[in-house]
Amino acid sequence: MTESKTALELRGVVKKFGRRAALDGFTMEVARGTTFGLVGSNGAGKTTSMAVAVGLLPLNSGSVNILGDGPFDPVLHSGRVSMMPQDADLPLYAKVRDILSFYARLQGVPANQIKEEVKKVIEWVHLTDRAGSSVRSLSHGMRRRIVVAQAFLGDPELVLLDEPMSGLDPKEVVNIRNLLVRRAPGQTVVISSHNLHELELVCDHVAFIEHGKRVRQDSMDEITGRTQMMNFELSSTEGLSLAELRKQLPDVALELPEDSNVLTCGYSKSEYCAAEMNRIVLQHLLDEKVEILEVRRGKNLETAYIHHSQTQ
Amino acid sequence: MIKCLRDIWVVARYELLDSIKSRRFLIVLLIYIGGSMLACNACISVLHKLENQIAETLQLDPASSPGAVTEAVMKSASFRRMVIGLVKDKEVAMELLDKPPLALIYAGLVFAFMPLLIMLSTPGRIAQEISCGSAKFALIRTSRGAWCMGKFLGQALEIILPLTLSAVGAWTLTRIRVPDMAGTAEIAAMLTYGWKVWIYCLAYIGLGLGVSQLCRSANQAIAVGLIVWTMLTIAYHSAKYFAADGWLRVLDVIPLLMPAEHRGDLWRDDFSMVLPAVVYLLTIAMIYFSTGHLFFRKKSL
Repeated sequence: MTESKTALELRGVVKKFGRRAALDGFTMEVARGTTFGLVGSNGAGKTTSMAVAVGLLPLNSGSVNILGDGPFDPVLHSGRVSMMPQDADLPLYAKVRDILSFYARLQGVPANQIKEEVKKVIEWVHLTDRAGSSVRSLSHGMRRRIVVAQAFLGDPELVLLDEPMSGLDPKEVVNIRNLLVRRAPGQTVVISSHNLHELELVCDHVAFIEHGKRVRQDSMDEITGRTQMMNFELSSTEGLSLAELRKQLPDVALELPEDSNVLTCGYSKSEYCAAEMNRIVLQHLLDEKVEILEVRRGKNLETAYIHHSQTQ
Repeated sequence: MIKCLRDIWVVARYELLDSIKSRRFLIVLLIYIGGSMLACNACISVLHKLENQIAETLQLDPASSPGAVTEAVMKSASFRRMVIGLVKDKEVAMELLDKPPLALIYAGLVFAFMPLLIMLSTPGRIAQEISCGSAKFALIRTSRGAWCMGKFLGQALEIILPLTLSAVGAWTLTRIRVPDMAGTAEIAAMLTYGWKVWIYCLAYIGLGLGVSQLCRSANQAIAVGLIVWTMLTIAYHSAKYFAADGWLRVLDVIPLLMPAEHRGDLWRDDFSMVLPAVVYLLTIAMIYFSTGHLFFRKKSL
């Protein structure tokens, strides 16, 4: 049997709460092995789409396909799919080690590997010294870390994380980011978050969702334009002439708005790469004795999202 | 199927171990043991008074310690009334008069109070996890059916220890106060009644967890559980009262769906009477449990 290339597919999903449609024909495909970001405003349907995907919410219509095996089946997908729900707390009186061992056992981690597996994920979230503590004795942030850790028990093929960075201190945000970057090979991670900076750093694909509908889905490179746009922030544009540069780069769109000190170079990724663009533009700017404050590839995700929201 | 059975066992084992380690379990254990010891102590005192009355009537020396004229007590009308009160069935009570009084007292006590204790603790088990969202962590790893069934099995296993220890506690107390009334036959009879009460309690665990699957908080589940239990009790007595010939015979079916209807048979020794009661009670447990599960399996979490 060939392995499906899609880890998660939602097609035309409608989920209503009373008369209100939280998901209104929502469609999304997540390729295997990717880190996929789900971006949207409050109430856009991010949490609902994740809950529908793993069967926590029954859908009204549409279809869900998990790992090419059809809709979520807790028996079929046990140990292969995991989730970090946004609004769920662990049982307060449970000990951290005990509850994680229980989840590991339930998802089919072999008995002789459970101890090691639990130890590993507790180490990932830097809570080894609290492994024997009860959940209620942990701070909110520590609990969130344990909730993140449980999602990675047994290295599932598909991990859904709903607001994983919420409530974490800056050091732990970096730690979770590193965890996502060095995840198991082939593992697919879907992250819903309002923290667009973090998504930009860890995701390679992203979808925008508004009013229960997908409004855009593409690779992070395409959405931020980082493979086809360079931005050079200059201290001043006084005396800067772009004529020479335009001669050197005839097929590149050079923009320097009057009210801005940012030179934007739009190029075709088939003709140029970022390094080449840098070499040419930076050389020109240095020759022109212009001070360069920052060089940035593309737009940031936040700008791309806001821009997209405003043009809709 | 194997995965499902394995998951039921994993959930039940965790439920059991988690309970045993909790303060709640310790409190329940103390209530069971303390309650049975106190009740047995009170009954021994009542028996002692009865003995004194009988000794006075028969113009014997007043009993210096309880149990001195036990046989006479057991044949007395007061004791018979007490046993009928415990068993709530005159015919069955008459069959039990040769049973150790301590075992009868213990069984009467646990038959009466276990359902209440279960209805105060069990309905919160699933509802609590739904309300805090922790159910979600388990339900992406196993089916809802296996998870709930595991909870049922865990709760069923959890009450074995309090039942056993309360019997041992009551027996020990009696052994200290009235050594003649607490021998091996008595503890054997008490433990036999203990497992029968356990079977009886399964129906209430089914009811508690059935309700628990419908509710969104532990407190709500406990309140709804007590209301449902009260309504079932009213329905049971109403059906018994109004059942008559003709179409009203249909009311005869209602008591069969109530655990109390089968309690009388559990008092007996005759296995042919006990077995149908066991089957009925297990079926009732599953009916209550499955009714709640019909809603829970499609419930939004």
